[in-house]
Amino acid sequence: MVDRYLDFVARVLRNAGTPEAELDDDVQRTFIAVSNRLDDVRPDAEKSFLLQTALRMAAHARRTLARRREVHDSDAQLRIQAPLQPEQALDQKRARELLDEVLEQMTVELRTVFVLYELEELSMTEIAAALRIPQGTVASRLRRARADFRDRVRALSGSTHAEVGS
Amino acid sequence: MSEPTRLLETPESELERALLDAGRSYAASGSTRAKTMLALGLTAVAPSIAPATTAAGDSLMKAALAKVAIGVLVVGAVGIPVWRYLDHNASSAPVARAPVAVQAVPAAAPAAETAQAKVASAEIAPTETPRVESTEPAPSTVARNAAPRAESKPTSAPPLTAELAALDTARTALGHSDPAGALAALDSYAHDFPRGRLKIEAEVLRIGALAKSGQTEAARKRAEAFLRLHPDSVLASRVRSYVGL
Repeated sequence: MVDRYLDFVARVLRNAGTPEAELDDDVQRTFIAVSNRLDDVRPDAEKSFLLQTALRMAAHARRTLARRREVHDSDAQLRIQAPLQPEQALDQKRARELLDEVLEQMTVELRTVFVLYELEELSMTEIAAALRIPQGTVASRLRRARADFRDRVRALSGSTHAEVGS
Repeated sequence: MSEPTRLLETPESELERALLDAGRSYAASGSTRAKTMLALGLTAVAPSIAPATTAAGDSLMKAALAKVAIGVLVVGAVGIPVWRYLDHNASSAPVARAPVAVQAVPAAAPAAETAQAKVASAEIAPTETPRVESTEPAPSTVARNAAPRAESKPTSAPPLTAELAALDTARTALGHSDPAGALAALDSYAHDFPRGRLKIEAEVLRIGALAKSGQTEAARKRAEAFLRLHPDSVLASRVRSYVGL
């Protein structure tokens, strides 16, 4: 199970807002949580259980991060990324940083649906089940999330005139 | 309800494609995997030694985790750990991995407060059914000395599997009520891997070994220092249980 779902859990945690520095601990906590609740997990529901647990972990991590930023307000200023320079190729690390920036600006509700649909490629039915919300709500959030994401990426691109991916 | 085409299939820009790619391609590192296995008290066995289908591997995993969860003492050697498998995974984060059978696990260990308990109380919102209390996942039952010693290599970053092997020797000794052997193994680990990636896990083992060898004051001092440095570590509750904090 660890082998099959380790990347999935790590990816969900990271994209849902767990900072890189906290990732190892939260991955461990997620799997330990499974060991605690093993009798409650149906064999065909392991992924869903891990997903729900990981989302709770990420929510906790986001709250902790937000509190830290309130205390260390100057850190928020330092976090502002230098703009991409023209001709600057976008390597994987920089792309990850920019993705973090964009996702952090989205509301939690939109971010979660966006991550599960666009990055995890779950169906809307699966997302509705995992989040325990109606499919119509998933569709509505997804529509808004996609528009929000694209607006933010356009703003990122337009303000920097970056030539990326070349 | 029809599902919209994913953005990555029709990206608006190269920047959008790059960001979506970055999100999709994120994968756990070998270090994350190793630490997760250590935290669960599990040892991975290569498919070549323990051939198993994915489903069978999962069954073993579930069985192992169930034993962790209910605190059943399992005695028996895992056999020969094959570190090559982990070694293969240590330096990269493959998208798909071969199935791994997992054999476990708990040995008699102090567990007044467990890592799992901390997880449940601090992080996991209880859901429909009551949680099963569990004991701490403790050293695996890998045969003592079966693991190869860390070899000094000319590379600047020794393989993670070598670190795992060294720590597993210590864990096995501790599980066999041989704290002196565990401390010797940990001394070797510290010598062989002065900048070890698993040094936090090694410190937790050392605290346990000191406590079990009767050096309670030394164990307590190290435990207090550990908790000051890593108050939110997933291993913090295990450290507390070792020294009764």
